[in-house]
Amino acid sequence: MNSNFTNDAILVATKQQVSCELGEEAAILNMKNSVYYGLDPVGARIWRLLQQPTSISAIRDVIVQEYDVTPQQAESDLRALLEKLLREGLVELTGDSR
Amino acid sequence: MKWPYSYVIYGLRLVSNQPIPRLDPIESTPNTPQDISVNFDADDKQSTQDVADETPWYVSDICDENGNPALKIWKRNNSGGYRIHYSHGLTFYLNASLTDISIRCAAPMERPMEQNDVADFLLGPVLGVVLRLRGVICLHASAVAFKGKAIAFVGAPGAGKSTTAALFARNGHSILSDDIAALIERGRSFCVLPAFPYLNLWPETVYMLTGEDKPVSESPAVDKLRVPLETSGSRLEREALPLAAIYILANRSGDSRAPFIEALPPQAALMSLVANTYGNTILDTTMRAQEFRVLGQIAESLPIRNLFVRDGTAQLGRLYDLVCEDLARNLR
Repeated sequence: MNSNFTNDAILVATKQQVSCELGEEAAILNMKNSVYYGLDPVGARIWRLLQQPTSISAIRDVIVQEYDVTPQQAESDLRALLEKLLREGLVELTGDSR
Repeated sequence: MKWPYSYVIYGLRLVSNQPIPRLDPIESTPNTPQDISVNFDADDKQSTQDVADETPWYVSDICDENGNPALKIWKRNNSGGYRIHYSHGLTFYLNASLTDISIRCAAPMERPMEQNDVADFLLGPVLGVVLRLRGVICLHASAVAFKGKAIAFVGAPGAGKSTTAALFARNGHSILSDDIAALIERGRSFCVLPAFPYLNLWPETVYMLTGEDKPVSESPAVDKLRVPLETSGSRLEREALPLAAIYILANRSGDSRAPFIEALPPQAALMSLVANTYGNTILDTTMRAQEFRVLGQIAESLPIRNLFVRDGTAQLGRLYDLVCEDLARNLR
């Protein structure tokens, strides 16, 4: 896991999972260890963005635009979620947009 | 004629070289298409295939009185088939395409198995395994007909699935299945396939529902009684019906509010369904992913409720009314 990724880091959902949308929420099955995860509406929105290679700053901008949250808070929460998803092998770093 | 007996169960046309107890036979000709042939006399060739050429596929964590796993399944490397072995002496051989089931019984002389006992395993867990390996999603549930729709009662063993189905049977509803609710996708909905024309009930449940003296269990291998639906004025539903609602059964005997119903949000509903599919321990990664997608569609599109019940007869009338009222409010 790389917890020091920059805002230009590009992340994408791995192939080792399958997910489904449940209204505004989502659920993920990690096919490597058969563990299930639930995402709240904001997490589900981020998860949808991660289906394509996307930079952290691009995701943050979408969240700030769509939800009542400051850029700082959005980035902090986003990084916490992405670190969890990376740790669980549900997303991977594919490069850097710089 | 090698396969003189024909039946339909879980949407599959079965032919057999011996009568299968408790199933109603159907008319067929040698040219009638068949899905599965059942041979009650497995030949030596199948049973003596080198066991070293098998890979363990599943071992039950439930043990018999001798401490041996009650059920083991092997994948047969040469043929691609499976061997399902119950520790009390029954073995079922499946071919790779899951179109042949051969049965060998090696029960000890002091406890011989009757054809009814063999049928119990064949029609329940063995066909459950066959369905799962064929890619059919199966809920661990009983299912009843309600105004042309299927209603499923899901739950762990002992949660009250069969009792609830029996309650609906006594109120004139036809029954789709007991223990295994096999789902088939039709258009934009999932239909529950009809299973067999009886319910598996504990003697105590029969007593609770009918007031009749507790009958003795008829088989040493299984503790539940096979109660024909006709004895409660019900019948097996002949058509697959679209699944319209799911109730997750849970015992809340200590809660004076029980029985009561609680709506489940989709994410919690999905997790409840995932925990209550039939035979999910034998699934490989691809099958598990397919199951997850289907359950996600169901969790998002159907009303799924927790149904909290408690022990005893006093609740049964209320339980039936409660579910009917909930369905009347929520069925589309």
